[in-house]
Amino acid sequence: MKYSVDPFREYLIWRRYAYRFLPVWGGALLLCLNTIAGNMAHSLSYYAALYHLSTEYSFGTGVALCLIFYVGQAMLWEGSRHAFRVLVTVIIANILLSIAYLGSHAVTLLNLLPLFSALLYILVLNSKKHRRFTSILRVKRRRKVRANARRQ
Amino acid sequence: MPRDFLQSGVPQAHTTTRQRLTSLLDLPKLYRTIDADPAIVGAAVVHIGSDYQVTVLREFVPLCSIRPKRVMLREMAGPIRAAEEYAQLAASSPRESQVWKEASGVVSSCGGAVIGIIIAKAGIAAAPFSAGTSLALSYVALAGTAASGVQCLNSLWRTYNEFVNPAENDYYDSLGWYQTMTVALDGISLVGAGSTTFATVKTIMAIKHSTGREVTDVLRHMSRQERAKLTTEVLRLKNPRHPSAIVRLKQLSGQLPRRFSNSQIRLSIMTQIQDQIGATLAVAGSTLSGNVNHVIVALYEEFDSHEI
Repeated sequence: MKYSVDPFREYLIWRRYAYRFLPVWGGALLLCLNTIAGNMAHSLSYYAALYHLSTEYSFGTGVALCLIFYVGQAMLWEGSRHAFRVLVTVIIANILLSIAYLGSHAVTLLNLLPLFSALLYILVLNSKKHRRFTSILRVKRRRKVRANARRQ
Repeated sequence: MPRDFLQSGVPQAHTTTRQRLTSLLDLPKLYRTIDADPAIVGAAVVHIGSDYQVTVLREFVPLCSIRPKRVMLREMAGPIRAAEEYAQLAASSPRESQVWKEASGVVSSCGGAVIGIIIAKAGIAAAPFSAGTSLALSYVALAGTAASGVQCLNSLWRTYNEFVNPAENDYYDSLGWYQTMTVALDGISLVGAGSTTFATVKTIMAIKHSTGREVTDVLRHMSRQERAKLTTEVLRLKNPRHPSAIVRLKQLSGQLPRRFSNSQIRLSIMTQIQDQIGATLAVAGSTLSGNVNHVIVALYEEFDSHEI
């Protein structure tokens, strides 16, 4: 199949994807950010206090988790098949953090929020729409690679 | 009531609060007492009612310091407390909750981030209209979007803190590196917003020059001739070093388009409009907590850290 690099055609394809997958993709982004932020405020700051560390460490860890998440997202956009592993690693770390926090704190709705959003994120990540979205991006990347190889 | 408002120019609710306070307190004496202390001379006087209605009784005059100082008279709801109780309350809740302020920051920065990523990805498609600067601009827009994403995390975290431990937010506000980071992130997202605005203005000006249309008319369908003129204008902007004859020859040979289609133009403009929504959100986020309205943030900081 011919791979076209016509920017306008690219845009049309991209726009169709955006309307189709924006809710699931944007929702997943916000859910993961919400989990990381919740853990920064709850779990990480609690552990920083427990080990007599400054809360800047918890902030730094949270931002590092966020950056790893962005790397995963960027890989997803580029159609890499390893993106899922990066994203799942980040979210598992978050789930462990929020469960550990709940082990020594009251189970309130606010404390449960990071855990719930992390679990929901895993559901969204494995939803049919999100899987289709990522597989489309992978196909696109493979076509691009093949077209480049043929040109050379 | 409308008559009173028309006569005095002050809503009646304010007038009555002020009148009530004037009758309750000896305001001139209070002002004299405040002005007698060199540390707080000229401080503003603010009254907060039990229904949280804020009335500014006197504005701040920068005599004691350049930084604003305010004497707050806060009415307590419920039974009158003892001095110790009041002191304890004041120590445990040193400031008003800012949950709504933080939550609005979440909406603007996260919305800006999501829309920004979509636009940065589509920015490449707007290339024909932005005179070749679009690709460089889309990298800038991507950087702005990434900054908006980190801002989104930051505002979510601040909102959580506002529920869990509001003192944490105050502590971070006082840290130098945190302030610098916030300003830098605001700056980057503003540059991203600025770059997209630049692309939009350039598109609209190109359309205006070639067709002579008003800005409000930009979305209307164009005739064949108008589109051909617009295409010539865009190609001229895109190839400033090529003489118009070469551009014309390339058009004839099919290397360059003779005219853009109506749908092409409309889609490009719609991209720019979406882009603008993202940019507006980025600017709004900065207005709430950052560069654009830095003075107001500083005022709050002064207000929070002031010891009276």
